[in-house]
Amino acid sequence: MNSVSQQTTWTKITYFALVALVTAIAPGSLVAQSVDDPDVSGNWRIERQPYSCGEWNLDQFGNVRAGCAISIDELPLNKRARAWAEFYDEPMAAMWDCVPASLPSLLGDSFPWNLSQKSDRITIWYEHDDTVRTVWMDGRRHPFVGELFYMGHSIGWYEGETLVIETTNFTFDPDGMDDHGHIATSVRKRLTERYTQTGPDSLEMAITLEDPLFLTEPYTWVRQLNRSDVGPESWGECDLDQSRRQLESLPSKYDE
Amino acid sequence: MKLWTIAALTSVVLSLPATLQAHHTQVTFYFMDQVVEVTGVVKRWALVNPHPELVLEVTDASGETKELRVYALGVAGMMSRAGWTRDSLVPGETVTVLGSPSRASDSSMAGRSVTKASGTVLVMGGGGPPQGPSGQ
Repeated sequence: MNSVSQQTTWTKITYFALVALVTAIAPGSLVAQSVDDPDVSGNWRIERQPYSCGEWNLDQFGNVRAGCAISIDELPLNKRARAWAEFYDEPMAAMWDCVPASLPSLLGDSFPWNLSQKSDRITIWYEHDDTVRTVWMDGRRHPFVGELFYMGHSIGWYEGETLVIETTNFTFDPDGMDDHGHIATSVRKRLTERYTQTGPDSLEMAITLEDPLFLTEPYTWVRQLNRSDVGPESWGECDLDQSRRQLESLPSKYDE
Repeated sequence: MKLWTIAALTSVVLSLPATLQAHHTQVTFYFMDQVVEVTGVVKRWALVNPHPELVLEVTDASGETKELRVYALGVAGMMSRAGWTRDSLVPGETVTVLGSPSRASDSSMAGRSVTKASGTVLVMGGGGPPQGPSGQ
């Protein structure tokens, strides 16, 4: 083999080695979704149930807080969590500053969702507060614990017919348990969602919430999701002035 | 001066969903177990997020006028889906609102439904298209 031919051969070898290397480390867009994975794409809706926010969980007028997406009475709250609810004052709720609901609150109301499965991610659009969430399906790990996100960092994988989503790296959230129950969650919150197809148009969603700073043990609850012919619609930008104006007439729990 | 009259629950109110989608903590702000009826002139109607807002000019028995802010119990997205538009209510028209009074202010209330002069009833709690007279 002469020197020119040898150079050509090495060039080809180098080229294909580079292609193999890029393919190995490239984002999962090159990873195909298995035909056996559950099909969760499309529009979904939960059958909302009115859960108690806890008979002990009172607002500044002595009324039981209402409209919770989880049964607060069933949550294994510790003393710190109950003390937080007692201390809580409505103006603290970030929703009045147009901050969207977080997790798991979004998982509990009946506004439509849209799930879009891609090879390396699933995007979930919740009509509630027009929130879009990304679940990374490309095998990546969560970032360092000190890197925090309001909606947490979500990774997912398939276990047979079940889509599993794990979310960590949450910021401290004064309403992190439920945005109507007004109980906080810490940076140690971990949410695990398991979506199992129970039929072509139904999913069972099992949610496990962990937070050792506010719960004595992990808590799991189950909801049914049904396919919906109605998808999410944008609510438009939140009107901050109008939102805050509703608080103006509400007396604070604490003297100003 | 007393502006409120307590109205009996009407077929319009009974036709509302049994559990209204609670976006915000309504029970903290309003007497949700009470229904009042107020008639006034539309000053402003805003189909905004989070809760659409109707501003009425109301006149009490002494002839004094003041503004009343009516915050819809429904959210903008659901109300749009139900047929509400930015032009559903027009400044200058007279309407009657059924709703729940505020706990802390007599200048605001939660709106459950609006009846136009034509008799058309529009549900502010979301769900269903704008309805005809008497909720039919």
